[in-house]
Amino acid sequence: MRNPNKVFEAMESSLRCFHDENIDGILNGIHTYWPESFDQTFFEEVAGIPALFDQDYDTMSKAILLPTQEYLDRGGKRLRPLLVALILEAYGEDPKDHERLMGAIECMEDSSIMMDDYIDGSELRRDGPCAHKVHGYAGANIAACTGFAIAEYLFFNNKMNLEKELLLRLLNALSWETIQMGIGQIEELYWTESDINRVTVDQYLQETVSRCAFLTFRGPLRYAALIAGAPEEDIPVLEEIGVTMLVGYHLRGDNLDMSPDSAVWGKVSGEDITTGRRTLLINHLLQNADDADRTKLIAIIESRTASDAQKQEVFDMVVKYGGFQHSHELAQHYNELTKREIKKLHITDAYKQLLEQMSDFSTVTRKV
Amino acid sequence: MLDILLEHFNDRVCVAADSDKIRERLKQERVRLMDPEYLQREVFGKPQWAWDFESLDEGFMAMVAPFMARECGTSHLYLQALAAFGSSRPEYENLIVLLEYSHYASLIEDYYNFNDTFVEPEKDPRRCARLTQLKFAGQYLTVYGRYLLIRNTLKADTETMTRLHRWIKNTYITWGIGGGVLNQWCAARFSGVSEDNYRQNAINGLCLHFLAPIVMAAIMAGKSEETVQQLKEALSWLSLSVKLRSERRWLTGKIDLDVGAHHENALLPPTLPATLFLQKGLALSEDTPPTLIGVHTAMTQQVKDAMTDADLESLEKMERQYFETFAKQMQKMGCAPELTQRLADGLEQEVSS
Repeated sequence: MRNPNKVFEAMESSLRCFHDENIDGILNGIHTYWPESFDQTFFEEVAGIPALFDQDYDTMSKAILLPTQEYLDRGGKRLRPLLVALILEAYGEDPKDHERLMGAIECMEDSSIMMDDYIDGSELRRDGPCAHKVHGYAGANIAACTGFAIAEYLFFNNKMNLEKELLLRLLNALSWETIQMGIGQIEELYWTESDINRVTVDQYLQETVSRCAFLTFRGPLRYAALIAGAPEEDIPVLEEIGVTMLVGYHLRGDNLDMSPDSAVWGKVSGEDITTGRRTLLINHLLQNADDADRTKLIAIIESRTASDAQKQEVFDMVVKYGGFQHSHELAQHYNELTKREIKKLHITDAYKQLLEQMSDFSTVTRKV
Repeated sequence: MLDILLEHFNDRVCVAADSDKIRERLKQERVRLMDPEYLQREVFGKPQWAWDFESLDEGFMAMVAPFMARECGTSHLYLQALAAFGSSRPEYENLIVLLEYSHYASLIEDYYNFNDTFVEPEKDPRRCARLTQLKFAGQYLTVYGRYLLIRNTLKADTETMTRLHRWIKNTYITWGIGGGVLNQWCAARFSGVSEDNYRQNAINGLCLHFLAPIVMAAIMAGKSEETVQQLKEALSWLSLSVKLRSERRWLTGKIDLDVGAHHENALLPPTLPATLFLQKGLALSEDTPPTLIGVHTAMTQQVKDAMTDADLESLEKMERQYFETFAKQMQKMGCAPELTQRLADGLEQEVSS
């Protein structure tokens, strides 16, 4: 597991203090929410059918629960449950009373990133081997998809005893978000797999938001706010924050992939080049490079190279055409938009400041 | 390819009027699926930037089309169960899309999960990427139909909607567990698997075919949770009966392999003849490839070499017992005798076909 101090040293002090105050509850939420193994009770709870015969719970646990558990055990930023804690408290709830919610949000995230890993054919996640490297592609895929659905049992089994109308609102939102994720995923995979070089910045941003906004920020913000009984007019504002903060976060991630700031990145650098991913940096190059450089770039990304020398060539082109600067400025722009939205919320200045710090960390200062 | 048998079975329970209805509804939805204006209004919402609809055409529709070649049996079961439960509101028929699309998605997901491409030592990255694209196109099919719930096109009450959401998750998880466990068992060459383990996992894996549509109809008809639980148990016995029939038909050469080609899932082998394999205490050798296809080939050969007429008779007897248990439970519940009869007819015709 990585040293958490290294991960969070880029956080401003009051946000870090909030993190330190809540991390035990978050860890407890994750630990108690995701079961180590299946038994009859848990099976019937998530499957909703009675078991007529003895089941092979050991194999079931190994196939479905273990891969997510391995990712959970390696740590991670745990930004999503932290955001849940922040919003709950901002609207007057004690995060300690909602540990399972924080656990559910992190479990959804960790089962879903397995999909990102096998899509990219990645080697490492959080300094450990990716799930498909350990469990095979089919094993990782089944565990990711089924695990993601299981992680939602807090909602579909109404373990929080919510009013039916609120519960239906949450379930509808979950379904809508999975549709968004689905279409975003199709676009990204198609662009990569078919080497599409005509992707506009607008299309890229739309794809990024539809694929990632829910799990990264929009979901945690919305769920925490609804459960804490936030004023209705704050919900769309928080959803917008979930979008703008995600864009900044994602742009920062693309930059880090090509140019990690430190050893804590925990993944192979330049992986986006190897997978042929049309990130903003690549799209910017495709649109701004001269013909010779553009031709060279297309040849490299279409070759799916893992060569450090070729990755360096792309890196040099990104620098030459101001790609990092462009991406950084765009991330800053979205950071500013996020802060503008934060001002509209009906919460105290102290929590607004924490949210602003969260946006700065996600968009500008994070190393992981 | 167990799916093929299920489709044969489902064909027997199909009603012509329902077929017309299903085809028309699916045709309508296919048009909508490619209509940017409809999608933005009803499914995705207004974009903040811009969708790339071209990628939907090439990256989605072109890929899933072969798997969407015809209607499957699940929505027939759903419509008949709705009628049997006395609940035939026209808007409930919207769920046809959700059921059919989930079924197509399950074919694609199986195709991905049990494809040997990913276990080859030298993987072709382009082929892997293409399969992954197909897999996520399938995943989109799984979730797409949920817009029907979000927009409440069913005009159902809050309680019904939350139950429906829950059952959709239940089904997806149960089916996922079935595939995950089967994948692990193949990797272990079926070592240490008990008959009971196998039976229950077969029920789990078949949840999508029998339990999902009929339970969905029961929920739409406002049946109590207690009734629905009894129904699930009864249908589990039916699943098992069909499963055994599938094994027996495979061993006696009565499955038409050509059907697979129409679905472009010909790579997937028919159902594993695991019941006799386990009953007879057989074991796979160390050189059996630890994949579904490898295990299937070796297991079939071993069972065929070892089986007797008495074994097949015993399989048939067990299959009938399971079906009788199902029928008795349905009768005891006083629930939908027309549906029981229809399913019994379907199974009976399977025998003679």
